[in-house]
Amino acid sequence: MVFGVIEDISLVGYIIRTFIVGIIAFLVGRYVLKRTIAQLTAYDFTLVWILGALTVAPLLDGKVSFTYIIVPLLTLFFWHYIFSVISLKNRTLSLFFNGKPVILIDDGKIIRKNLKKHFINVDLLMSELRLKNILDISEVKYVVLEPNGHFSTIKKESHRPVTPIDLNLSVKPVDLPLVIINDGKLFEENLMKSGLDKAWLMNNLAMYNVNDITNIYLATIDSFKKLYVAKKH
Amino acid sequence: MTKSLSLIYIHKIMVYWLNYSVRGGFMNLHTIFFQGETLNILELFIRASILYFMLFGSTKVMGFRQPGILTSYNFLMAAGISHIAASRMVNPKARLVDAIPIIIVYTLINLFISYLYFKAPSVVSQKPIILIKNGKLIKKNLSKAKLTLDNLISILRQKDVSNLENVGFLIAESTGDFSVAVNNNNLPITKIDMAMEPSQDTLSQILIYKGKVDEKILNRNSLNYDWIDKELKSNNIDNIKAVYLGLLTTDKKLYISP
Repeated sequence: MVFGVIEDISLVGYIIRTFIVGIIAFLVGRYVLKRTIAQLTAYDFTLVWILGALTVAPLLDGKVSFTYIIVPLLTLFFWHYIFSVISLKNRTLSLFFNGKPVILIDDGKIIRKNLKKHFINVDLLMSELRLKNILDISEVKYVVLEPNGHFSTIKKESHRPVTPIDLNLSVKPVDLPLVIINDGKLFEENLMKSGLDKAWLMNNLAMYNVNDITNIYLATIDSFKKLYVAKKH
Repeated sequence: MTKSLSLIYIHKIMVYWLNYSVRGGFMNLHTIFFQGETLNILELFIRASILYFMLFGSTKVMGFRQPGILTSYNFLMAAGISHIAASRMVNPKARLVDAIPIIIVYTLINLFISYLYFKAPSVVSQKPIILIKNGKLIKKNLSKAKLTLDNLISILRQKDVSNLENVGFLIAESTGDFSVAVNNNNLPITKIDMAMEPSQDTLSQILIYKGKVDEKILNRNSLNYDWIDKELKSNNIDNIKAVYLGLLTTDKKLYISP
């Protein structure tokens, strides 16, 4: 007796239910959109908080059958999907569902009206600024309250770190190194993408005193053909 | 014109469908609201939808501070209200009519506490606690915040601070997070340190979205369509409809992504 509405569920019944709930929880986590987990907006937030409570319900009470959680789960996924699609298609509705970012400090001036609207007092504002490594409020140019409740801060120009542009330096461009060996396995397509072949790799690996690929845990290559090698021990 | 027509059609179809389902015995409004034990799948769907929309509305009303979990009570409120809604969705014994006032009252309480945070912060909000000042631990506050030394070192590591001596301030905020101020001579050099005169900039704004120009932003920055045309031409784009995103960058240039 595991499924259906059960008055007195046995211990074994609960254990079997736990396994099934575990599988459902995994599937929920697998198919929920990434944006939900990041809690980007109010409707993501609503979904993510309710999912956990919903999934474990059959374990709290024998009378909660699996139909009673699967239908609401599918309902929530359905509405969340609809909201996401509508938000992509229509900007006006998207701004309603997602919420508009609110400017709290504009060009160094505190906008009191917006602070009041979202019930944020000065202590809270200062706390959030400190969390962003800003101790002196006069260093801030912009503070924006994002729809997910996080604060974005932009410092005044003169309080920003010096960058290579300021000093007229030229630096190497940003690039993502490619993984060519992972746990002794060679990824030849990544090697080809860098315009190299296996002979070149073996030659270069010899410099690290390695002659067998299976002895390497990780090797990456950047766009300047510079190798990084980590051996197994 | 077509938009309002299609809206009327959707409305008509929904009313017809509702009537049909109620009369045909597929669903019963009374069961949905007053009984939980005899719900069929369609009725379960409607009950869950109503609760989801209520929860969505309540999150919207509570403002942005709710999803951001700015204070500890936001956390409790979020856990509480979602649990209430979830148990009402799944529990056969639960009635929807009870859930609706509970969610409304819960939201109002939350709003009231948020209001207190703004109006009378001394009553509700906790004070930030200073844990490290000028590289020295403040033992008294450490025990007040119930943090062990291992906790403290772990927090510092997560804040990319390797040396306790370099810490100007470590503050336990009321939001449950920690803020670190590193001594000034361990910070990156700023333009003011180098006595540089930086160029002024503003926030970047979405000027063109799927081919549509936001006139408000255009006017606010005292720009006009001629300027957009010029920018488009310099990017070899003839038609504004081909622009997916046009971002007015911080240095008043148009970043275009077709």
